[in-house]
Amino acid sequence: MAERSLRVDVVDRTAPVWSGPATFVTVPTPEGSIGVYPRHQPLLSVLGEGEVRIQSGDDAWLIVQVSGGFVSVDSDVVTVVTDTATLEPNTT
Amino acid sequence: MAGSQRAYRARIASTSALKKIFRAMELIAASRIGKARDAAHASEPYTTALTRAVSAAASHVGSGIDHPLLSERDDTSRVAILVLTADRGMAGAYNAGVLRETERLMASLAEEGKTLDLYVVGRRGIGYFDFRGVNLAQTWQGQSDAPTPDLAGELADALLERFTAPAGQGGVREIHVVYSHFRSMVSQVPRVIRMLPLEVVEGVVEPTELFPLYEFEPSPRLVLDALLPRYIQARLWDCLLQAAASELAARQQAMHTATDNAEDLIRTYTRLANQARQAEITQEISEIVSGADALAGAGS
Repeated sequence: MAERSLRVDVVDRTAPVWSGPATFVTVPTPEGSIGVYPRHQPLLSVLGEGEVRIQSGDDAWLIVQVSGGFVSVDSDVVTVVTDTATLEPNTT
Repeated sequence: MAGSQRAYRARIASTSALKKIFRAMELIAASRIGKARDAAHASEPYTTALTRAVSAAASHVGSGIDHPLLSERDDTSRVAILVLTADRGMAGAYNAGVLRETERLMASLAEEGKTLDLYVVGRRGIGYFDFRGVNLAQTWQGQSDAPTPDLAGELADALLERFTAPAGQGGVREIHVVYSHFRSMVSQVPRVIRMLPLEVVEGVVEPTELFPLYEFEPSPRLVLDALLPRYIQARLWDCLLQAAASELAARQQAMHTATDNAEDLIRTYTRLANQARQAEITQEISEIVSGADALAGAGS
């Protein structure tokens, strides 16, 4: 079986911000942060203010600044819903 | 005689100037509808994700759900109404339709013995109620045909504050929204919805869709706390976009009719002007001929 990956959607109030496959995602919560790998159990969590870090390739990280909202994880689909999201242009 | 010809020419000139304005406004409205639609389309993923999450949370917490935004309150008889109207007229019956629906809602609520607080968006609505001496709780204006998400945020904050306030401090038991639903380019219907308390969660919880057992972080209650205000805001945003699209569609239609009317008028006046010119020429000729006849008669 091929290695499973996550599908990540980041949407804000006015438009979808980013969407694509990823191998690992961390999201900020009011009490810290949560890391999500494929096969994570279904999760519905409050989103804190901070940065969502998405590992979209072996060494490629994508960072999105978010301002609160919520995140849902269900069958390897991660949906980050936030009021305003800004994509950081420099990804390392 | 020459006077009436000149008057017709002047009317034709002013009508064609008006026609140009009507035409321009029609085109502007048409292009802005596209923008309003795009905005509605772009915010769809957000609304869908939010709605799904709310239904998931609601189905998980079950029927024993107890959240201030979901429960009916009966400690006060105050009710808030949010009315979405346009900033400008020139949109046919758009504003009149919304305001008539508002009056009807106000009458039926007043009959039930409820005290009303009005929140109005749009200059036309504000003017309407000001003229009738109705006190308005809060008003917004200036962006009825191109609403921003910030406006939806402000509306949601203002209304939620009232709904969660204690009875003694202006708390309200219900919040209704009157807006114009965009059914199609040619049909926009005024509509009343009860925004709060939320009815759990109408039409969204489908028994066929089984939600997985979610883990809630930090707790189901706190997740609902974060979700519901955003859900309200998203629904208000949707109402604002619907109202904006309806306003623009109504304006486009009204301006199209106005352009057609102007063309009809120009045609009629052109005919009248031609007739007047012809009458003048005929008269001049008959004057010349009769003058020549008289001279010929005198000479012989």
